[in-house]
Amino acid sequence: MTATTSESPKEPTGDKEAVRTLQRVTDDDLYRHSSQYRLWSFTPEQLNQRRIDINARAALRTDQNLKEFKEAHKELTDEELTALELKAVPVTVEEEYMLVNYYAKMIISFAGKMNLPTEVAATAASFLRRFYLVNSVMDIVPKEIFYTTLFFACKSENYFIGVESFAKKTKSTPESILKHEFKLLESLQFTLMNHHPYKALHGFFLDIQTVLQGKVDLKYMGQVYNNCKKTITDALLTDAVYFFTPPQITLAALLREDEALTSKYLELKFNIIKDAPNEDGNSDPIIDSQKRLNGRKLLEIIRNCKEIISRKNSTKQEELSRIAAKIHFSQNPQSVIERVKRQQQSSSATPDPEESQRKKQKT
Amino acid sequence: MASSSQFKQLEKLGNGTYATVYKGLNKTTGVYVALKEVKLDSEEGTPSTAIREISLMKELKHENIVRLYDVIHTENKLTLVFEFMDNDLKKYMDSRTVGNNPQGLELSLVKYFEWQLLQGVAFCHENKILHRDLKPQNLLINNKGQLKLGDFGLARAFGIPVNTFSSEVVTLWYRAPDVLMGSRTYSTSIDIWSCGCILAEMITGKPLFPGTNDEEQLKLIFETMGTPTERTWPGVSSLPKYNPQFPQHLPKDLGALLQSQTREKLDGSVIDLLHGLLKLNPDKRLSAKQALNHPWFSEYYQ
Amino acid sequence: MDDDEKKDMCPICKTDRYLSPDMKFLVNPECYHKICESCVDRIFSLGPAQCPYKGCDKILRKNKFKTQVFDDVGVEKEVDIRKRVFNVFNKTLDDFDGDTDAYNKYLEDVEDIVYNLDHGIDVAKTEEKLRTYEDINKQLIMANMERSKQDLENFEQRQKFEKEMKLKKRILEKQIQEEDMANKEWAKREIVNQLSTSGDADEVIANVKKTVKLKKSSARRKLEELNKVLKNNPFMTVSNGLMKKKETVPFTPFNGDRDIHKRYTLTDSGYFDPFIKELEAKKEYIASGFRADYVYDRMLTEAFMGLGCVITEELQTPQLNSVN
Repeated sequence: MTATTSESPKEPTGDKEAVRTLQRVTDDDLYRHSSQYRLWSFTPEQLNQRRIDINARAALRTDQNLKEFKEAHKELTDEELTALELKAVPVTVEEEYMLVNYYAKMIISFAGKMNLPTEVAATAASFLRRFYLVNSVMDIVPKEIFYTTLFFACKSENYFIGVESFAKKTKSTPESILKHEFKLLESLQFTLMNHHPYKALHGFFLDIQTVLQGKVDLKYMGQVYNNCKKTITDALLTDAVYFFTPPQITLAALLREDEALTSKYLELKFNIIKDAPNEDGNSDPIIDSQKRLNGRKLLEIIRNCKEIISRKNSTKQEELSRIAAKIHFSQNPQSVIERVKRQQQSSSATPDPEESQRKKQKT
Repeated sequence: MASSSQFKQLEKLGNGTYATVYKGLNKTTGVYVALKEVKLDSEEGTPSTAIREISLMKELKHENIVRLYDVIHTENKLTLVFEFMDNDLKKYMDSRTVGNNPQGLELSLVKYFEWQLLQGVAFCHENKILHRDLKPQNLLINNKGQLKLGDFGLARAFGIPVNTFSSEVVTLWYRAPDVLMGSRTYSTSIDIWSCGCILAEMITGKPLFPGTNDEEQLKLIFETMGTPTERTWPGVSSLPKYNPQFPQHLPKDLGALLQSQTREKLDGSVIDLLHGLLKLNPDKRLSAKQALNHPWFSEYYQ
Repeated sequence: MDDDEKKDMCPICKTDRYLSPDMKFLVNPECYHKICESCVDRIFSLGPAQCPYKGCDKILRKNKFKTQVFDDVGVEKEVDIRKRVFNVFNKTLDDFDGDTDAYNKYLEDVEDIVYNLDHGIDVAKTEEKLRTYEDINKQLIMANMERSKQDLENFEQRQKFEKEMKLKKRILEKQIQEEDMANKEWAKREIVNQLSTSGDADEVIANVKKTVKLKKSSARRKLEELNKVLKNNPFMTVSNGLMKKKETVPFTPFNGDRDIHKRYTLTDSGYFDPFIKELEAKKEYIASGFRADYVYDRMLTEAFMGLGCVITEELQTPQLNSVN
């Protein structure tokens, strides 16, 4: 009686596996078996839809709460109701995205300050971003899951720190760190293995030496390698991680670092004829019957990736405070009322209540 | 996501490295499962052993590796829902003991089990994962004769072997000499040593090197396999726990030694494979892939 | 009184299992109230009677009482319901011509019935459904029952066969052992006998041994035959170490069907890599089997692992993948 299994739905189908076993299992197939590919890779449309759905679900909940709040408090004045309409609104998809990205960036710089290994930092950022592909910032605010994520990344990357000393270092408490640990594990769908591009970078660092033998200064290569590590870390904060595989992201980072060098390498490596008529090779399969990679198409993919990892997404501090305040008000309508009341009472006493509110948010 | 009410907890099957395992019945599907209950440490949250096991098992889907179906959270414990297996190799071998005399398995069965063991190990290594605790207790079998690797509580992913591994891995009897001498930069070869010990144990029914502490363990290994020298194993003297005063032994005839403990006729081929798996120098030890290509297994690759 | 104590005491006559260890508990699927065997005998021997539990108005019959298999009454009840429902809804995948979706749908419907009965939801309606189905599908149900009976019989036959074979094997083995003993005795005597008449000891011994070998025997041949039969018996289980032939060749990801084509070649002349060079020079690393080329190989594998996966295309049409 095995009609149902509790496996996640996005597994490769049985048929597909059967087809593959008849063929030889390639390194690409190994990657296709990873949870990073199976559960955490998306097309831009899928990703977008996912974010919209999560936001809509949480927004609906927020609106309902607000409605219940209004019904429970019939005594509200018109002024208070207007304030509610104005302040206690759910955040938008874009606002969620900005907030999450800000915290992902924070987690990396924070891990740097704590001298944690690069891979731990990268994993923490990845966990945090994936968490918000399942939950909305309106369900749990990033601040609440921030240290949990970092601590959990340490554990899963075998970089062990006791929770007490971790709490001391981060000026938090063991209880708050562990409070949402299972929620995090569950949201990650119990998949904790990350393939970061750093190892691929090491590999390309070696292969470029072979392909461009005698044509490239090795000392300079070392410099490119080090710079590229930083570029990759930045790339991990973009949506490129969902649309591309680690080697593709690595090559895009290399391309960004030194266009000429990387192009030359790709040309020689994948037989790209430079000024060949610009046929539309896009519809061709990336791997031909001889198991050769279609260089032109690969280049196209890498260029797309480079474009995404080059996008600047710096969000202004004020913008972030505004979003944080918005979440706070929408989740706690009572605080809007209190604020209105405070304003009424002390409109003369406090010159700038906005300012004090902002300070409160920051702490 | 499953809930705990979906499963009926049945008898206790045993204790893993960090948890208690029960047989369970999935009430909705009628399928048996193994429920591994992990107490949540209020001090440290989810134990890192459980995190490691969950993390790795979610990536590994292979027919010689036990499947992790689901994880359930209840109050103060985490339950890992695994594929149910009828027995483990240790209990199975124990059950065949006659009086006080352990019995080896039939050679055809030994071969089939070792083949599957190496398949599972090869798959782990290909996925950059070291099991680090291979022993008969962790090899689960079912009555179709399938063998699967279980208990990944000590396993971990590896990249460049940097000096961070613990040498407190692998149950003593199956621990490689390099690890016993304190190496912390070991790699896939430590699992291979265990596969060799297990192969010998399946043949005779008795553990090959049943030491009671690190020193005795090394002594037993050297008595049979010979004491290594800088010539046979370059760099050995630089291992932390290397002792120049190790008593010098010449290698014994492993074939004769095992033959005296089994009624099955051992041919040169299986002994040759054993020698490949039990090379003292980790650099010379076979890889799982090479072992699978050994002529002893020729009947499996037509 | 705590639950543990309650568990071992008959709530009707208050007999304790502690005092009478032979006591057995029975339940009746009408209400699943636990009553000890002697109470059942006492109360229900004269015919149907009301359940002695306070507040329970079910009328119980003695012949419906059964031993409780599971500790948890909830599970016990569910298992009984399952048994009853599955005796009626006993279609197999074959009945759906292998249409898994339809079969799954069917299984789900059946599960709903079980669930409803188990949880007391729409009991009357569900019972009605069960009866109607039984009436309409009587023939199919009977056929399926016959089939599963056959399966069971096959299984039993198989077991019987194996048992017989093993018995035969043991007898033969014993026979061979006895023969060997007898032969040894005979050889001993024969050698002494012949030595008393002939002179060359070596020759005598060799001759006798040859005769013994020839004597070895039909029993041995039979045993070999039997072993062959056992080996070919497709139903062999682990317990005798002979596998189903079909299963001896499992899926092999790395021998037969692992792609050997690499997207890179490892350079013999080495690489410029200060980090690895440093490790390579350390004696402890050498002793632990550290080899720079393994590391290089692994890193290069990482570099190209997944390079050919086009996520935006592959996930758009999940049935296709780029390797074709």
